[in-house]
Amino acid sequence: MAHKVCLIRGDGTGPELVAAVEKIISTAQVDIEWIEVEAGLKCVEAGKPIVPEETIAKIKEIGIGLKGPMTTPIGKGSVSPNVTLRKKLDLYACVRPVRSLPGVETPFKDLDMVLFRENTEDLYAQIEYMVTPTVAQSIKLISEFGTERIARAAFEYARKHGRKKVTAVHKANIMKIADGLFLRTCQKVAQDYPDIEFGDNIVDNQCMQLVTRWKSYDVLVLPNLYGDIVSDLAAGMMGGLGVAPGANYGAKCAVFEAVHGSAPKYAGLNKVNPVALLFSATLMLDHLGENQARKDIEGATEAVMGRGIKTYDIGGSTSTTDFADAVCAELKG
Amino acid sequence: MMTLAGVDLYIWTKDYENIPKKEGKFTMKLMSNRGTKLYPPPAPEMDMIDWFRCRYVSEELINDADVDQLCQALTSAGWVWNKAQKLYQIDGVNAFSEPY
Repeated sequence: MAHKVCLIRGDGTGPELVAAVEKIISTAQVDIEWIEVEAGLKCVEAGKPIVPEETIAKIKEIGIGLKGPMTTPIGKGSVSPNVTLRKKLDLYACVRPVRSLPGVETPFKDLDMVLFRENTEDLYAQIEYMVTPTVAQSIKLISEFGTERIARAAFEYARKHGRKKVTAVHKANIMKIADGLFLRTCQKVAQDYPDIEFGDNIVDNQCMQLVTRWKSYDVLVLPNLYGDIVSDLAAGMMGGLGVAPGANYGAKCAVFEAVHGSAPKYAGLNKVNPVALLFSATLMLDHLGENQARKDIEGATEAVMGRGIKTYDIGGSTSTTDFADAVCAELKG
Repeated sequence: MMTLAGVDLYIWTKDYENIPKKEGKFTMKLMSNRGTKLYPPPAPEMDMIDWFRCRYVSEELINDADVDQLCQALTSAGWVWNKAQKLYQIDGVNAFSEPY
């Protein structure tokens, strides 16, 4: 029986990247019934919310979605479609695997980490006020509830995937109340996982250590804003946003997405790297229980990249469609 | 020019559905939990904490004393509010964020 998956094609380069991924998954003979749902700029232009309620309802019903990159319109009152999806589907865990890939030159060899970013609170609760004409205030909201579930997700992942260590990243030396609660809660959750080593690190020191001693880290768990920043740092370490996959998990739904933007200036140029979205889709296949297909596609992609077939962003000149065709040929071969 | 437009009251409760939607000059415009809108519907299916942001606004001209009265009325009715933030407009534009 076909797996049902909601599909958002996205804006800018999104549709061409999604087409490449669809073709590769089809070649890997995974039976997926794609259920197209609307979101993004087209909705705004049609006078609808950027993520219509019907889209939210459908993803809730099906329980899983794959999303091409979307554009956040610039201007007052605009909301991010990505944050809207995370909030409305309560996708609390943003998971970003970071690993070295063949054919991608970086100074960071043998990378192998997974970042767990809390996705629903912290400064992203977007509670902001002008309290006088010249003073603004944003509320950093950290809850024991929100922290416990992301910490537990990180430890459960570590246990399931044979990871040895979880590191909580914070700034509790300065934000003793909010980040202090985050750290205390992570420490409390760690007691339930005596088989996994636990450590913690201050976020600025963590950034320095990531670029000097990256092999010392395994699974990182971070509040929303630090997670946003550190996961892009880590994406840069593996070769850039063009190869960095992402997944967002909630208790009832999961949405898989490339972490990069929609790159509208490249739309229609058949140029952008599909690997980030493709590896997000292989995380989705893993979630669907299609582990062999995940291994096949990732293996084929890495073989292709190892032969120097790659897009412009990582030093190649292969087009999006030619790259997808090369992966498909490798899968068939 | 900065003018008073309403107040966000943060109420500590589990009984959020019964928080007054109207009180004196004020009407509840929205309620959110950890930045996600619950009221008016539709509300997402999500786990919540016991701290709700309730935004009260008025069609009438309001002043600081009106906000005091609103706070007193809620306290008298047994609601525990533990943070209040007045909402302002600057030159007619809202100077506060909206929830998702």
